[in-house]
Amino acid sequence: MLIDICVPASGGEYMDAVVVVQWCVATGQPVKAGQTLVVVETAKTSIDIDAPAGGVMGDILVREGTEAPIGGVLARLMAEEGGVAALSSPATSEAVDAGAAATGAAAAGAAAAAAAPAHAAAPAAAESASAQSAGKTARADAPDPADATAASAPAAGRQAVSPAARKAARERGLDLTGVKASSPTGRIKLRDLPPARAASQPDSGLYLQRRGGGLGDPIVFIHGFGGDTVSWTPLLAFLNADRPAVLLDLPSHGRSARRKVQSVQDLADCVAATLHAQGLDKVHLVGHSLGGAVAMLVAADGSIDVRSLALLAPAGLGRDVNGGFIRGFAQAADVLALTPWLRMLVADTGLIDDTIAALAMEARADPALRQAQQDMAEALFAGASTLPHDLRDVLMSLDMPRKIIWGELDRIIPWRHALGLDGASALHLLPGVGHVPQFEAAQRVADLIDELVRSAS
Amino acid sequence: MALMRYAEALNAALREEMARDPNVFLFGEDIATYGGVFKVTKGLLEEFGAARVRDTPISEQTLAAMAVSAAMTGTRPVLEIMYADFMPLVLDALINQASVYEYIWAGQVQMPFVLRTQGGGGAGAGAQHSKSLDALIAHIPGLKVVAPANPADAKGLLKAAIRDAQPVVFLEHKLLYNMRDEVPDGDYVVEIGKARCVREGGDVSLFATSRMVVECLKAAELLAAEGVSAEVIDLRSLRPLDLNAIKRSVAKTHHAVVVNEGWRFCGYAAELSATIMDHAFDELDAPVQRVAMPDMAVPYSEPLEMAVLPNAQKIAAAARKALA
Repeated sequence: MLIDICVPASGGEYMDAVVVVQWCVATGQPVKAGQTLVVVETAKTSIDIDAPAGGVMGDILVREGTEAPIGGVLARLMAEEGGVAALSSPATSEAVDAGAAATGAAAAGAAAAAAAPAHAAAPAAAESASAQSAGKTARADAPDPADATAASAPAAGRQAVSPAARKAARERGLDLTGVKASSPTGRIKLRDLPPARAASQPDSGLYLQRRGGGLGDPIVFIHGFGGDTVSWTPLLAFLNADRPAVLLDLPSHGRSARRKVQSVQDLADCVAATLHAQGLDKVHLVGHSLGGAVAMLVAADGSIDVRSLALLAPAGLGRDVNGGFIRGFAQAADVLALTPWLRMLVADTGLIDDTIAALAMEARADPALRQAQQDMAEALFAGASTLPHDLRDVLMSLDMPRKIIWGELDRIIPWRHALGLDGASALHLLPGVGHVPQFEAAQRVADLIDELVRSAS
Repeated sequence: MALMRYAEALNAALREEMARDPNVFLFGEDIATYGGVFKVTKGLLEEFGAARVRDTPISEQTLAAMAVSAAMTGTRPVLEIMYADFMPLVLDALINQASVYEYIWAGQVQMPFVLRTQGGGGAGAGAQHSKSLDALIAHIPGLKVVAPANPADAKGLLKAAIRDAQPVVFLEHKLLYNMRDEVPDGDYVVEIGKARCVREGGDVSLFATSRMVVECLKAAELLAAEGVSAEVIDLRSLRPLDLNAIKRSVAKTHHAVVVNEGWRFCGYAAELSATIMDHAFDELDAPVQRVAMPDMAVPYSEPLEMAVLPNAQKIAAAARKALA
């Protein structure tokens, strides 16, 4: 089993990157659990990162003297069976999936669009249950970030927070790091917290947007983890505008209410219920990444008549998903921390410029939203039984026309997950494209969806 | 409903209770022939006779001991101490007798008496006739302490106090006696220990009793002009305290200003502040703000007296500070 050795978030609130000082082990050398693998340095201290399990040192990805972001993968460790694992920071014992968001610029073309997030998480997670039961969970000494803040930032002083604001943050799962106090007292008050969006209407269904004309059955788009309706903006510019399109935000994403979910099936139930309540009983489904897994379950459920199914880099067909990704993306609290993860989403990293990164961060500015998504990741991917790697049979049981569209250079979920199916789903492999084909190859993806929808109409 | 002055409402309560219960009788300095210096007992001597409405010498210490003895033997005396400034003279009877006898005698005696007095500044009465000694009295376990802020409560609370089985100290305010307002008809009794929300608001809670409730209402008007919605809670009873009303309001506004006309240091406002901290800490969005009398004698000079007494401007300023 391959374990990612990541940069822990233990350096305090002002740390967003570390410098690798010294590797203590070379690739190919045997390693014991607990042995120091690498020493990294923050602005305040140096940190030893120890092996979470015994095994053999794999690839070293970051050289000495080089900077690496929090959550960034420094190396891989080939752990011996039964050894086990656990990555660094709190939100991480789990795995999976990726989503993407993009923000269209209102002005001229869709070219000005912005790409955003997505995630994936650790393969090690599948086994982490056994790891924890073996009591060997190595957490790389990463304390809770809040504790770290309190304990290690005396110079900056403790951030004063009113009791009511503290209570509200606790209840809503908000991280107050970075929240600015508007009071002359310097104390964070209730009014400084981001508005509790949609919290007052928890059961009102998912946020949904209708676009396009009235020709034929609508196409429903389901974004990936960390994305939202805006993710589809670049693609919509190339789609046939006569065809009705429906965009929705998954629970705890975009403008939908924050909601505790226990499984991908819960998400599918929410989507199906929302579609049904909106009279959308006969639709074409397009799902990206986690949204792909959701789309498969909605299609299999039968309560909605799904005419065709387009899966873009879907989760659920295999388990080795990029490990360091989910926490890094979900936790990134500023543009600097988010940018490396955005670049990992695409093949052409030049697409992620400062403007796009800033827009992507703006969409995730609410710490409560980020926390809700971290909670969702934990709930969805913490245990082997809920890992959405077992949807292959579900996919093969479907009988509507379907396409799987994947970037050949996807670094989040490998396209090879699409292999070994029953041959009934078309596989479109896009060269030179990463995890978000609807952004990097919007025209191509739009053509494929149009073709699929016409064939099923 | 009838329009009544605060003093008339108290008078009505006394008259009704005396008519209802022959065990109720009144005594105090200048209360019979003169009808009380604030005219609260006016006409009662004529109506109920000298046996039930008695003038006494200036002898507060003895009067309080008399009230204790009379209550122990089955009557329901209502004693008037003319100025709250002289409450220290009756403290021994309150602390060592009235508040402990039921305990010492294992419930064999009860202490159903009312001690009416009036305090507060604003009348140019000088350092010995202007004090609010709320904290001194409310400090004593075994007593109930009420302080009505309007004619209706004056009547309803006094009737409740007279019927209570425990000793009740009834705090009136010299500047409220002429306040005229609606008083419910009939046997109107206000339960002791229940606060009243006088004005609803969402931004900040102002807690007070007696005349400070009036100042809080004026402060709420000042704040409303600035777009701040203040809630005014009239506690009505200093002891027992209506915890639920306090918690409910703080949970709603998350900002609290506590107001008391007595001295700030070790004062009643400090008790309210600590109570809020004990019971609603997690609801607070800012430290509780205290508005109270500075730790000094109440000046005789009118401008100086007005400068030191808590008022609407100071309460509004405290609310602004909480909300900053």
